[in-house]
Amino acid sequence: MIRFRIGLDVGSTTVKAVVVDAATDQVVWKDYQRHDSKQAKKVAEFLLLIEEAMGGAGADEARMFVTGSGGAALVPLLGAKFVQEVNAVSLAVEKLFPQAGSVIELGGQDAKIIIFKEDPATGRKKKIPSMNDKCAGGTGSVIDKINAKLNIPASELCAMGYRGIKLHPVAGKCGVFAETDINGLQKQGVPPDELMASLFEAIIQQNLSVLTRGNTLRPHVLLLGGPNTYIKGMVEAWKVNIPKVWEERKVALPEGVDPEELILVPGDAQYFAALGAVEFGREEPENVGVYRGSEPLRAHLEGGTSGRQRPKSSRRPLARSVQERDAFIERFTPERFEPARFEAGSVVRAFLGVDGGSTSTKAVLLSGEGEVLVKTYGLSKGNPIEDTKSRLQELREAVDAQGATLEILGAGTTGYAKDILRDVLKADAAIVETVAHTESALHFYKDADVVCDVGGQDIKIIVLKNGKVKDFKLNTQCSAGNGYFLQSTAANFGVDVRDYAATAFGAEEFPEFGYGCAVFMQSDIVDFQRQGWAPAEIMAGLAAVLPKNIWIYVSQIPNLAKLGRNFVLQGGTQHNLAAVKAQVDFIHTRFNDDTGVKPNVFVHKHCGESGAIGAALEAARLHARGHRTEFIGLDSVARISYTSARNESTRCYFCKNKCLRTFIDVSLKEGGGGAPPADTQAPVVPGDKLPEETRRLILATCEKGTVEDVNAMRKIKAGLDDAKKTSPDLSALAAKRAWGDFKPAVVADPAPARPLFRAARERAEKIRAREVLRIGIPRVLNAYSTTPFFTAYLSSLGIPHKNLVFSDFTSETLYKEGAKRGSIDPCFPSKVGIPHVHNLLYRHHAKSPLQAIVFPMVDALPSPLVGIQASRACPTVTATPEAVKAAFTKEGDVFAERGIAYLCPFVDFSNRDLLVRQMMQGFVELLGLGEAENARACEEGWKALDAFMDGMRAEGREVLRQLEKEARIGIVVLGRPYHNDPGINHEILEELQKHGYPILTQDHLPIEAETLEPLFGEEVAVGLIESGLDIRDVWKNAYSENTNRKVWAAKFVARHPNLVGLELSNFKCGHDAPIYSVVEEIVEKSGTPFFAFKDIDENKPVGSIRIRVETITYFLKRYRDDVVVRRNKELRVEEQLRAFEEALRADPRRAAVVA
Amino acid sequence: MTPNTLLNDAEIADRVDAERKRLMQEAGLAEPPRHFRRPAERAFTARERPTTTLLFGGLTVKHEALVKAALEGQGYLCASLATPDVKAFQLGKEYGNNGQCNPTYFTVGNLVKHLQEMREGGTPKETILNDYVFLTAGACGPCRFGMYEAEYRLALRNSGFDGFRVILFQQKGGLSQSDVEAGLRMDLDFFLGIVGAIAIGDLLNEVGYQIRPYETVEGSTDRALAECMKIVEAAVKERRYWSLEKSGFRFLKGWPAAARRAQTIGKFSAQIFGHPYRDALEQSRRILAAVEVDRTRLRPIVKITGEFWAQTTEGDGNFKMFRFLEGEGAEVLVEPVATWLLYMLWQSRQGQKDRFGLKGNRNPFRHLYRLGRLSLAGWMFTREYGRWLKALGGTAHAPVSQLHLQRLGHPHYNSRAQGGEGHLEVAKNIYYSNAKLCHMVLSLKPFGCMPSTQSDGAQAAVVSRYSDMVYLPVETSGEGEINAHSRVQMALGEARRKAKEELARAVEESGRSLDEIRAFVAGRPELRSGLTPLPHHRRYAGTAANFVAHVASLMKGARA
Repeated sequence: MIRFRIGLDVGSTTVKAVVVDAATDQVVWKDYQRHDSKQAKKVAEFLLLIEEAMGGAGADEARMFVTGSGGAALVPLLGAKFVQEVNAVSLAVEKLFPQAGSVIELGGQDAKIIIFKEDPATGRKKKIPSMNDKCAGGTGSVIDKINAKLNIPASELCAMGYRGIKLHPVAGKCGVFAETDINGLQKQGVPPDELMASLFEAIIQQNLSVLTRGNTLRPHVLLLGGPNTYIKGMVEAWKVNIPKVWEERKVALPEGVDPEELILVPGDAQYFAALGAVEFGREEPENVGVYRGSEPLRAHLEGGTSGRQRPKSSRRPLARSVQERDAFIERFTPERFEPARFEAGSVVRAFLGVDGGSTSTKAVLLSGEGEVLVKTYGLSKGNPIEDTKSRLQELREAVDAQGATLEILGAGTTGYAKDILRDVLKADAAIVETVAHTESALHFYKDADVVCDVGGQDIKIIVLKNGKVKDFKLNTQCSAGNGYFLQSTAANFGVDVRDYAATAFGAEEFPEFGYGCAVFMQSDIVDFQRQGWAPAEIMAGLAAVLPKNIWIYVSQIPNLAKLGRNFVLQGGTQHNLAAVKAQVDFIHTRFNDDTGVKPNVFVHKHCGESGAIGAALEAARLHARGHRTEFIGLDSVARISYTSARNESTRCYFCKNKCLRTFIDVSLKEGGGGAPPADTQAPVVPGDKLPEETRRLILATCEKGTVEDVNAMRKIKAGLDDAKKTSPDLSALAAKRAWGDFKPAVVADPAPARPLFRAARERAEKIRAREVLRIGIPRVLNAYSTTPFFTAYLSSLGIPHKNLVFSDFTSETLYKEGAKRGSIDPCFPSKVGIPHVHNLLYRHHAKSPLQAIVFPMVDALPSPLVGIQASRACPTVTATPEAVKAAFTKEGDVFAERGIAYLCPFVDFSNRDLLVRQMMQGFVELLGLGEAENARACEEGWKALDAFMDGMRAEGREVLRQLEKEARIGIVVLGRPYHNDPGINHEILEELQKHGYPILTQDHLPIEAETLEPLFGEEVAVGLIESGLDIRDVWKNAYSENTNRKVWAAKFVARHPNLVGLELSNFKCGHDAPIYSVVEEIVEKSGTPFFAFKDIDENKPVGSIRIRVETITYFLKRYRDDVVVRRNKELRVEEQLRAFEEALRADPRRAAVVA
Repeated sequence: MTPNTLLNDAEIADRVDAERKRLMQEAGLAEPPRHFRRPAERAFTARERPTTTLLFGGLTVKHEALVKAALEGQGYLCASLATPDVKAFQLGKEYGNNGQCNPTYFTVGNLVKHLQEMREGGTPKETILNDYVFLTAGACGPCRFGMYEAEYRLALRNSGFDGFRVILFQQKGGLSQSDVEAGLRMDLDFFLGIVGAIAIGDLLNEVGYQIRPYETVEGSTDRALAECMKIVEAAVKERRYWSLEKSGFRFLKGWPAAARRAQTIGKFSAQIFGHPYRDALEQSRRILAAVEVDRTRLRPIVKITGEFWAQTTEGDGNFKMFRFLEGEGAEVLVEPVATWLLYMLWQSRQGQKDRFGLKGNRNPFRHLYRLGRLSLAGWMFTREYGRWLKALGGTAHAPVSQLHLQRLGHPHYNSRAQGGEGHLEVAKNIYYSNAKLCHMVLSLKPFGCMPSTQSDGAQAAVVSRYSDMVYLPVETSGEGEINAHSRVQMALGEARRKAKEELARAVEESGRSLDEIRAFVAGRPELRSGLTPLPHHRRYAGTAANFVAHVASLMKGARA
């Protein structure tokens, strides 16, 4: 006789359970608790409580139904039946809240949305369920992770709000990106409530734009799951944002009800899945899910079988024997640092280096001889100024304690906060981290070939040759599997980070993590725990995967022997000897050197402080060159107090972007010490006179925002304008010109004067209507290279160019407004297709009606190259208009509702005849085309396209001429046409241009013989290639045109002495991935610098871009020196040759012969 | 140089050149620039054929065993790779470029894994490089599949097998593939052998998935299939192809052009008028028919679609999805490779039609000839497939007409946009749902698959237009199996509900109880045979519902 039904929900962070009396259907017991990654143990505890609640009912008197991501593994031990979570939640909703139109359930690692849609024909409710895939972006785990970082107690977090709180941009797509953004904002002084509100916003936007798969949430909306139930701000964020979507999509709402009331957290929200599981059980036969009692699970746990169910691992322990481990530890434990001894009364003259990193702040004192005197390291408390004050105080105390006095001869800064620290301290130099780490490594290890720095967030590989930087690799925006991740995982297991190595070395085997994404690894941890792996084993697995992240994911170097022999490992993570062991072993296995030479791996003796040492060395170098420091002095440091603000009063109005800025007013006034907490709400009035001894630092997104005075801004702007003239950004110019009027001849047929037949009359009407037709064109994808054809085609048929309306350039606002309709997650350039059409529909059409939107499906492109297989466009790009169409027609036809025709003509630019036919098919309906006028209009289109391309090449030719003349360096963007869009390239190009490097794209490279001959002539002559436009010598599978052009441009760059290559590529770019190695090898084999920004997505990783841009410019400065040296040598040779030839010809007898 | 010699212009130029060289050398400018070159590819020659083993993979175990048999029957040494697993995926990731799609990582890594295992097993590297080649399909786009070849080479280089030969046959290349002609004889026998193997592989797979969920003795289907495979493999291997030399038309050898044509006509005729593999398939039918089944079991039917490789593989590449679905109580309707072959032919035919009347395509006779050839190939394949299907019991599905699929898919996804997974995925979803052939469509999309992702975008509108459609796209990757399975369980819940309602309706409409149906079946062994054809009722998708309707009508007949 079954008396009870038990619903058990084992989630990724909590366990929930209900016991229902089978006779009365009443809940007799329920509980909800965190399991702290020990699901089975917590369930066992629950079982005792459940059995108690059932009043001693026998095991066979109850049935159990289990749901949740951690539930399935426990089912056999419990005798229970598993119910998938979404199905369980749906059943509960149908029973407890039948009027619900949608459900949003956020769990620890899972997010689910269920929309109930009634079929008007049958009245039956259809479920549209959606779950996140493996990625836990946009779930409770992101909140947990950031909350842990900000150290906010749970009770405070629950009370944190959203409404009325200032929001800042935070990436919601990925927990790692969100963390990076929050880090940056925190360092700018943004207070915790704003940070958390911004995070709530990011999470709900992520779910609205991805998890709804473009569907509209229907009222009532139920909010379920821990974060929705317990955090006030999350609920508010939904309540504010969902009604906006309803309003835009004109969703019918019950009259007289505040839309926000239709979004609610029902009672027992956290128990819905468990209750649904019970509901599921009601329909199952009586013999299903009969509870076996708590004994089997307890016996399982007591038997120490936590590891026995797991899959077998082929991974050996980190060290195969105790001897091996001990020998390793002995060899690689850095020698203990003994701070220098100072004589009492002496004056210690030293150079100060400060490294304001993302997760910690380090400082060192360096003697004139380069010896580390004192060093200090501390985890960041959030504010770099505060952190630095503490570190410098510690340095000073170390000297003072010995009765000596410290005199700072020079100071250098580096790290994430280097600029602000330089300004506050008046340091002599702020150097980019890559340079600092290199200088430090070379200082101690003169023969270093490779420096590998693994910090809290960043991984840096620096390859050296003869003591000079030859190449570098940095992780892109993703800080996958870095030091902080190891540290936080240890903390979650309750292991002190200092005990990490000892714990991990204790594991006899370990699970194999997939490398790459930290969020995925986080999911793996949960999975591995479910499989029975112990914390020590998981920690060993994480240590083992680190070198793969470094050498495969970040640097993609399969054969390390090619880099050299001496590897220096540094960065705070190298304190963890388990991670070091994995790295050393990995380097040995990947050292494929036929000569039998083995690598030498060193751990930097000051691995945690190497950046700070590099900064101090730079200060010392400047001092040696006669520079005298303006460092404010240690007394002043102790007195530093400051207020910071980032609010409406600090907004910059110098351009239309109107960015928020952070003002930091730093005071060194006597008595101002004691470091009052940063008051972010302090009234800051721009332009106000600052108190005495107070300086204002302004953190802004661009140079113009760094000043308050309009005249000062104008001066800065004039400087920028000058730089643009001498070093133009041709990519930006091309982005503007693509939409211009190429003034084609009007070739339209006249409207038939007296049409007899209906068809002719309709045609005449359409011809006459062309004059007033307004057509929207999204500014996306290959439109950046083909639009001149379409605009000229349309204009030549009588549609005024002014009536061709383009969507705005990609921006964060444009993206956010439209992205919520998307149902898929392709590459960013494709993903912006929907927002651009949204922009046309909801912005431009709203202002002045459009009659059509034209979004061509470009199947193939024209190509100047020879010997290629085809010139296809990328299939993602080609098909984007179809996905966009679906987004606006799935819940009613948004185009039809507005009287707009949505046209996506399918066109092949590689076949002119076919193109004419396709244009006819595409536009005949809209324009009433005649065959002949269509063909004439296509000709006009081709003329415009040719003019556009020729114009770009002419500009490129001019820039090349200047570069050659002045022995300067230009950067060629190895990208795709849409990388000209500033919203897609994240303004990386503009940043580089500002440093004085002209930007060209591959389409700007001239293709006429006189340019190609010097570069490719010899290869053509020996028959390696057919012409300078042949890429068969490097790439065989040449059917994708933008890929082909990229490969060709890489060849061009490799042969031109004044050009370097910069590859831009998007996350999920299917046609770039296969040529990553080829492009890099083409450029680098010739000794030409090559840089890359890969995985570009909607998230703009400002910090990562900054480090890369600064490193690139450092690199280019040195490369340019080489170019100048070479150029001078060449000039000298030419001069000597002239003299030589003149001497030969000056023979007097020759004059006689000639006469 | 003799100072007193008077130099002419040419001599001066020579001297200047020589001096330039000297000065450049002196200034350190003389070093010639070094440029990257694509590594030279080593050919697979006819002479090496007897000692060289062809490695291949990428399909299902049955397909590969049959392709192997076909190639061995034609005198090649060959071996198929194991089904790619997570280890292969990880190797692919390690040695390939970042950011590749899953099929790339799995298949590329699988080759590396195989070679590494050979090396670890004691085969010297030189032997591996000299005595083995990898045979794979190629394409000219539009997705990155056409670039796999380069990825294979890169991964091989990075893993220490630089120089290992990868040879391609173009999917659309037909019989004119001069690149690989040397080692591989890309003649009609080759294609007839491979295509036959693929078609029979499709049929055996489908029949297996049809029977297994209903078997009354666990494992009986797999045991029967294993037996069938032995028989069919032998038949494929031992097949003797028609040849001019062994025919009465030997005398034509003196006229090469006529001999070539006669050879082609003879081979086609032998294929059409003969019935290769009939005996083996009929024997297999008898074995499979002996598997006892209970078709009253409630099993939601899940139609598999998606990206070509992800929907085909039976391993970690799609989280072992078919076995998982069966374990969850579903019947799996797998996608035959035949659809892909027919799609290739259809695309060529469509391309020809779209270009008729344009430059180079104006001759109507030539146009008709080209269309005719492609149509003939399509007709022949469909006919042969149908004959084999019948020989195997007639329970499998014939390939769906490409024209029909094009008409269903085109309004949502332009059928001219190639890549295979575009309009086809949309069309298959509509077709199988509307024709009541399944309760749910599961689309397996590898992370990073371009056309498949976009077609999923188009499906958003399709799904909202068809109210009864249960469609689930699952992104497959080498990781995240638990999550993927959970998502499938989510949709399967809905499919199961549909199947349950449908069965209840079928029982009600039959006027019988399920027990009565079962009692009737118990006394009739032919209704408990795995290969009894079941008429498809237009209102029911499920096997059980159709079975109930069928049995009810038999009961009616029996009573009458």
